Amino acid sequence: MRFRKEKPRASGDIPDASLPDIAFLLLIFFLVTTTFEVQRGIAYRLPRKPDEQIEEVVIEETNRLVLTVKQWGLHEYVALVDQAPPGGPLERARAGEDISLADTTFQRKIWILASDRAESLSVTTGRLLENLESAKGVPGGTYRNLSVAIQTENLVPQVRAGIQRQAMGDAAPSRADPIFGEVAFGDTLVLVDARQGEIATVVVESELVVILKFFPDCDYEGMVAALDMLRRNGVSRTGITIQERTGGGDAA
Amino acid sequence: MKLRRRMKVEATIFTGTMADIVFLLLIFFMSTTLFKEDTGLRVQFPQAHPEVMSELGKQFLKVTVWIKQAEPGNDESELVARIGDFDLPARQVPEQLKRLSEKIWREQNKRVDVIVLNVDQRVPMGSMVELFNALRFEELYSIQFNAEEFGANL
Repeated sequence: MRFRKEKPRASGDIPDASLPDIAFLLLIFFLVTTTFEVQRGIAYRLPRKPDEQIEEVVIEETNRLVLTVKQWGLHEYVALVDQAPPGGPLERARAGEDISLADTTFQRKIWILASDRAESLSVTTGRLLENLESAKGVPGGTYRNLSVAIQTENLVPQVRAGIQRQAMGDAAPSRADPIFGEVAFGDTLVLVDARQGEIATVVVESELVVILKFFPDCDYEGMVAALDMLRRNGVSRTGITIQERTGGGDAA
Repeated sequence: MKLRRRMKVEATIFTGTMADIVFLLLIFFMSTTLFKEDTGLRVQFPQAHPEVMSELGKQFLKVTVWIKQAEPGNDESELVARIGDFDLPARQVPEQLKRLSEKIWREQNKRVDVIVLNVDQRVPMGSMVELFNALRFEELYSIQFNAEEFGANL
């Protein structure tokens, strides 16, 4: 018996074997590339509320810079130096001698003031020890000092470059620390745990305190602009208050 | 001649319908996913340089507050705020935040780590400093001033 060969017939179907591949590819592409918007901003810690038990903090004149900030047109803000540390690059200004917050010479002078007043490394490492104790959830004073803590908890000390090193590179003036080695102003001291990663961090701050006195009608944008400018120039301790028309202020 | 056919058990799983299932799931999630949008108050953020800005870690418990003027740009107009889905006058914000943080502590045994302030750039500082002081008196100290990266459109 002879079989007749079947004639090849054109199929009317679209090949869909690769469809799952395409679908998976698309799915994975969007899974990987989708980013959700993250809100970012300037972190700020308000001072504790006045209490009879808490002593008032007095800021020494040599570490105190008082600026009056007012609005000077749309998106433009000016500062007047009300009080400045004696012998520093900034001096008390007379009425009308307002400087724009965006002025680079003014910013440079604030930078010099801040870096000249970098806190001593023992203060920084003391704060780091407190951070470590609170991260570990143990009461303050558990470890005698930082090197004991590092040994008992088996931590690795690291230094992350801060604003001064980023601006000046290796030329940045640094101080020697027995645990961390060479540390410059603005650097972040990090304690790394083998399992938990970065467990405690602290930044070498400046002891300069800048009090910002805002005119009541100054826009909120001016405050963010002023805080932004100060942080970029190494100032981490700021006070925010209102310049009352009659004089005096309400500190926050 | 007799052909003997041996019966074999197939070891493969039939995957012909997998594509349909994946598409179905994809379309189901595409059509049902809701992204949370804060539609309550439209504010214009102030700007800051990225190097000074921090973002909050996921482990932080945060409460977001939106504040703007009822008529943006008019310093005489009242300040309005929104916490979650509730609109309220801005002067009530510290008290409500305190209640909220106590409630979270009571019900979930968690502390609010940070108050995120989304404030319109035109809000006058006079009212904001009053708000900061009131927050201090309610023992809410840790805040974040949200801002856009410098150079973003105003």
